[in-house]
Amino acid sequence: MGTKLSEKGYIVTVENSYDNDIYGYCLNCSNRHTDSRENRIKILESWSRKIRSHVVTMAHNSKSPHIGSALSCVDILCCLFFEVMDMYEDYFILSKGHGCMSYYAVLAEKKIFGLSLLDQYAKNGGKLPEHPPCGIIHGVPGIEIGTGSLGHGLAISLGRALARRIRNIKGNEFVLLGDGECNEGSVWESAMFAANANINNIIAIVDRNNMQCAGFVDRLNMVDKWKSFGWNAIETDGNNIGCLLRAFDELKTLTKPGVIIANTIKGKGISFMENELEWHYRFPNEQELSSAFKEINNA
Amino acid sequence: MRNTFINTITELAEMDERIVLLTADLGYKIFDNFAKKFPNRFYNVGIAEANMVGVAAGLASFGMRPYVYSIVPFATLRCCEQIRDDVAYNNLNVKIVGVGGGYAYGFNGPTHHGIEDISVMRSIPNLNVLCPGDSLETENIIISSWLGHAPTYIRLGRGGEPKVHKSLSKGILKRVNESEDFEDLIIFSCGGILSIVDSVNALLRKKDIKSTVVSVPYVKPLYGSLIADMCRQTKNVVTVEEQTIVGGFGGAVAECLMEDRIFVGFKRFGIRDMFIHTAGDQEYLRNLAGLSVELLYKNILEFLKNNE
Repeated sequence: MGTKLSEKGYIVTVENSYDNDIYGYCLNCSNRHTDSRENRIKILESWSRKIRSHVVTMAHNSKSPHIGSALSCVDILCCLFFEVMDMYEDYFILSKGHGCMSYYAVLAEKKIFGLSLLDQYAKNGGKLPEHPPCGIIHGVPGIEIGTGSLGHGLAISLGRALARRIRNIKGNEFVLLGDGECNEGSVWESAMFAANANINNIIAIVDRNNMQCAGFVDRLNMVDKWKSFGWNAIETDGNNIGCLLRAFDELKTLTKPGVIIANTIKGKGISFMENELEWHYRFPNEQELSSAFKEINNA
Repeated sequence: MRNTFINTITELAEMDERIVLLTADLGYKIFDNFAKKFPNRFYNVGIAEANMVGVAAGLASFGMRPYVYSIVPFATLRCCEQIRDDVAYNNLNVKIVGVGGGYAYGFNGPTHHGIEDISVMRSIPNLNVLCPGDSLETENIIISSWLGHAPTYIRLGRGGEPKVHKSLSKGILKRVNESEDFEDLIIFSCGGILSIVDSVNALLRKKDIKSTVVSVPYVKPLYGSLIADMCRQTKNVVTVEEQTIVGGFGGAVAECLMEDRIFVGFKRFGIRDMFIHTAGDQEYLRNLAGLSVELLYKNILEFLKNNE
């Protein structure tokens, strides 16, 4: 069962909307290679290129900020939505709401809502604001929890994980945090509670791009922090699909709440945006857009 | 009030297995029965209110009916953004229960006084605010809020409040004595101060002032038309609340009267815009804030005299 928007803007329920899902088909040769992990990684990489071009287009069209934060988590989201998550059972919350351009693009490519909705991103009267809205009220399928203010998503995810345990429903909760977001005390309140309440059906991913709005995130060891809070913490390259998939595999046999510290590059994929603080706020102009496309397609 | 809440919620939890109770390390011993009966539906999340409300929002988004419990200032102000963003914005069925409204935790000092929660919670879109006046109202409020799906803040007293209602009227506005005429004065009361207001009313009626007490547990949504209909039949209206008069219950009634063009003598009684630094119990601090029986009686008489 899935949901989509009717022409009048109402949410209508569509049965098995995931069945005609194009996941599994290579964007380059339209073949379905599910045989080897190498091939699956290639497919996911082609998806992340496609999501990246969506992101730069959206940022250019809407003249909106946060393109660097959106680009750093593209690979993580592609892994989750096109490989790791079971869309019937698992659930995802984007706690770092400002990275939502890539989230919207992934949902659109996953056919949860139409690609045309992406044109409404950050436009007057549009359905997609610069942080994920509460989709049930707002009419955006696939997003149930509105986020934006940092430090909220982990607690909500834990609540859902706890509800799964109480009601004995299988599936995992996934939540993506920013590393700057981990400045928020409420993140650590939640981290403490998760281990204390033995919640083991949650996987958090920290998008460790080392940069935040006005500077650099503290260099303290993120893995040690999470481990000391009783979590299974794995550090990996967050822009490498193969590494990410291995990390998710490792965490699948869960006994403790799991967290992946995904070391990423802010603005990943477009050389002049990488690790540049100004691309937290800037949007690409015509020229930059075309050179960004070139880089993405040649990657 | 507190015990009524716990008894009612335990009864409801037997019928409704979606009810989950979360406490931020408060309520020593009083939840033992609940925890024993429903061990996987009671969580002491530790002294972490922000996390508690977030977790409750998550539970509600998965179809549970969480009740979170703490002392008024911690249940509302400490996690105010979580209530606004996680609960109200996402329109999730979370009930936030604050215990010890007003000066109930008097000796604990101003950090523990719940004196601005109604004003703050009232301004959050989507969020209902309920303030029962005694144990009968509490039971009624808990059940009626359980029937509804709206995110709700419920403000309780600390416990041991005297019973005021002999039986509960069926309407939205809970009049203590339906038979009283009220040509001269209506006293709208909100929350646990109801017993004091009732005593004041008894004194006023002895002075041949035709007055009545109306307890208004539904602060938001405020059933303005019901209040307006009553106020059309009287000359003077006062509101009493154990809360700051800035934007509180009195303000809500005033807004409704002005917008309905009902011009009666009107005064709000509540806590002035101040902290009380003196140590004292609830009775003592109420007296300092002008909310004791004697002071209210005196000030209401003075107000009526000036308005003649």
